Amino acid sequence: MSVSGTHPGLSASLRAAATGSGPTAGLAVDVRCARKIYPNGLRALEPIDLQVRRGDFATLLGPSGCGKSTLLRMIGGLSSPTTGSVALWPEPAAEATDPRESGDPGGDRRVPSAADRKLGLAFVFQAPTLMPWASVERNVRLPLDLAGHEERAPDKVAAALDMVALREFAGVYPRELSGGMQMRVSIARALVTEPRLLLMDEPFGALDEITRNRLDREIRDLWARRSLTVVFVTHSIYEAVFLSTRVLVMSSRPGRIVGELEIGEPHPRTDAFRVSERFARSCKQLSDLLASASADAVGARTEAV
Amino acid sequence: MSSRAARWLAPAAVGVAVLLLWEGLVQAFHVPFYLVPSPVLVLTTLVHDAALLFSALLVTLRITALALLLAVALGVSIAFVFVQSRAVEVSLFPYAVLVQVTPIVAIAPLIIIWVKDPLAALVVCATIVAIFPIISNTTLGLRSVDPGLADLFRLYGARRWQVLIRLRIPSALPYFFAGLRVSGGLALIGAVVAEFVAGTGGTASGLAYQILQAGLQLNIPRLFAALLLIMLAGVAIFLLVSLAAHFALRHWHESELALER
Repeated sequence: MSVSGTHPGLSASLRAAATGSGPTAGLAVDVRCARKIYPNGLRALEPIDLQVRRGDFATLLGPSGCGKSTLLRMIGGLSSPTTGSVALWPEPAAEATDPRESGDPGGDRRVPSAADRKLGLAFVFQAPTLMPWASVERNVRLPLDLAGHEERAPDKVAAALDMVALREFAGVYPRELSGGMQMRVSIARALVTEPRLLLMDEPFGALDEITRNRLDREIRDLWARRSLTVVFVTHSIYEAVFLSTRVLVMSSRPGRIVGELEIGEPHPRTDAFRVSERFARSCKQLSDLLASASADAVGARTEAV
Repeated sequence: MSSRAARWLAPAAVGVAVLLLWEGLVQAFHVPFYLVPSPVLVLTTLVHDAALLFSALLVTLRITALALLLAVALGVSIAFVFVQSRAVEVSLFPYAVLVQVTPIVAIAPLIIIWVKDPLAALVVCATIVAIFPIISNTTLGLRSVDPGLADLFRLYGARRWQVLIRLRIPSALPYFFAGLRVSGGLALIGAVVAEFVAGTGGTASGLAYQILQAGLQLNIPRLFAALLLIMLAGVAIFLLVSLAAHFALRHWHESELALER
């Protein structure tokens, strides 16, 4: 296995270190003290700090209801934090002015602006979320159409469909495709804008294991080829270990990050990795983290009673 | 026999059986034609009075078509206004219901007095009868947007009009057509009822007027023939609207896919 400076499988921390200096240099996502309290008083997220380095494949792993989707939606700008801030591609210069000192009463909040989105943010949801009335091609084109980027759109759509091996299905309607193919259309739509940051919310949760494993391999390859930054949400330990350079373990009620694990296995990862001892060890470490977190939570609740 | 053929043949057989029974009973009991005319007599009357009846049909159809177009244009516009804000919908929706529940026969005389042109008065009446399903279904449809797709549009910074054209309107189409199917029939009923109420004060030439006249003259076969034309017109409107829905939704919506499988 050769390791070179441009190899996408190179440990993400090394790559991040090479891209700049300063506290936020090399970061793709910077979440500071973000918490989410719903109007009904439900505490979905405790104040959370999360830094995702450029080129990371970061996975949020946790049980249902731990707020991992909420956190992802905050990063995507689909939900705003009750307090705290979320920044994408933070510049070291912007870091100099602390929003808490600006005197602006709402200054503690920050949601990604339209400018951030233009920098290339894409989201893949739990469901394929395709427009049933539009062909595969028109579904994939949607982000370009909305942005008014008509030029070279057909080429970009064709390229995105090539990436998920669905080019010959361009004229087909979503209902004619299987669940796995619909999900691949959804991924092609996310890639058509050539995003730098890809957010994925349990994208393969509803699929059978065989399809899920294949799509895991495909997404991992895409991440490596396109030097993407990915934030991935899952409740599958195996999926987290197979895909990630870094796994953040979350626990529920209220949601918080209770631990993290770097997965050093280089790219490409094949199915042989899934049955290796290193894979098993990482899975064990993660499940221990999850177990101790839920034990803590039970302990805390018992004390509270 | 294929199921497709059965769908046409079964109801046709029932119809033929009823007509034969009707003809047989009228003949057997020597029922006078001024009480119940036989089907054959109704058909011969239809042919005999064709000029009169078909021009009357055209008048009624014209009122119906104008009313339906007006109901669609107004109803869809009102639905667009409703979905702009909950406050607007909450403030105005009760009045839409008020229009819906007021019997048209009770307000038609007023409208006929207020609107000078008799044709326009009848169109207004029929529109009032037909508009509600369009308003309520289109409003529901424009609101029934897949939340995931709404998030997606937000993520890509879609503008309000882009959301309307690319997301809300396509989502609303199945609901709109369900409303249109009901409204098509209602527009015809509205046109006929309004003509009845207007009597000689209306255009004095539609099918309802012919029915009124035939009733007064005890020309029962003509009355039946006019009635038959109204029913056929209603069925034709239903089929036309269903065809339009099929062409608009055939590629993707479950309601139309079920027909193909």
